[in-house]
Amino acid sequence: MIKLSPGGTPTRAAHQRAQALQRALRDELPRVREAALAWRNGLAGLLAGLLGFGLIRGRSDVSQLAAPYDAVVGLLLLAALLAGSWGAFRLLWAAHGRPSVTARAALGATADHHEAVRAARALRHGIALAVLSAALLVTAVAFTWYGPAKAKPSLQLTTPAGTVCGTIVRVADGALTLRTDSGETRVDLRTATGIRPADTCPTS
Amino acid sequence: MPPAAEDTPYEEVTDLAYGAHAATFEVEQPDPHTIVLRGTCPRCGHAMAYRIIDQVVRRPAATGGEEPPGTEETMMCTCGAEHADRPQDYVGCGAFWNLTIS
Ligand SMILES: [Zn+2]
Ligand SMILES: [Zn+2]
Repeated sequence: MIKLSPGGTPTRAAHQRAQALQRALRDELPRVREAALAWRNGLAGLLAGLLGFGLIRGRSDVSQLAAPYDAVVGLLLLAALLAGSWGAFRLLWAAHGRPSVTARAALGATADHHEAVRAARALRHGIALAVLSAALLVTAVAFTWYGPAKAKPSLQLTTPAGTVCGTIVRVADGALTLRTDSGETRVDLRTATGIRPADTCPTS
Repeated sequence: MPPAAEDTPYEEVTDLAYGAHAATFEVEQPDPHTIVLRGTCPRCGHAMAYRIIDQVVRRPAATGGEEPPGTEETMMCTCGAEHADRPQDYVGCGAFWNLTIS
């Protein structure tokens, strides 16, 4: 149980502190909201970049990657998108208040303080998620840039002279030029007795 | 009893009687970290509520920190009314006093 009793003579400095503290309490919610707004705008830019990469460049870039790097990049992009979305949600919450209606008690000022504490927590989560999202995006981009390219599909031709396997260089005058392990080889298609696609050439 | 308030200008004054009056304030404790004192200002007579908490966002506890039981808190009028000559960003009528909370 809290008891109140008269105190002694206060100092002017203590009064200044009390004024400053009351002002801080009054302003804390707007201050958190303001910070969240700035972070929200920053994250919006990040998400725009993420979507731009994931939806426009990603399809062509990622499909050229060798397995399993294409799947890894896909998962990284998905994780970046999830982290970014959840972060955006938290930042929006921090900036604009809870998405659900809160029953405000008669203690308006105290409810504001609790909201400020919650908003500050949402802001912290939002920032962490935004940073995580950016890191995942950068990792995904790095993989697409530096990851091993998918091997080009090869053809395996059987001729009376033997089997030739390699990637297609050109087709001209009824002859097919393949790049094989031992350089470019020209094969007259009329002599070919068999032709089949191969993911990789057998190493001889 | 406090005087009628209409034309009390803002003035930073203290009086031991203010603290005695504030000792009759109602105490609410909405949560373990918060105390809300409610009553009327001993100087301007306006209704006021004064919040004492142990944390404020971005404000280290060192300056406004938790008051252990039995400490003196300097508090002041935080009425919402207009008082002439009040500096920007200040609240109340300027009355301040000490209250012992235990
Ligand atoms: Zn007043
Ligand atoms: Zn007052």
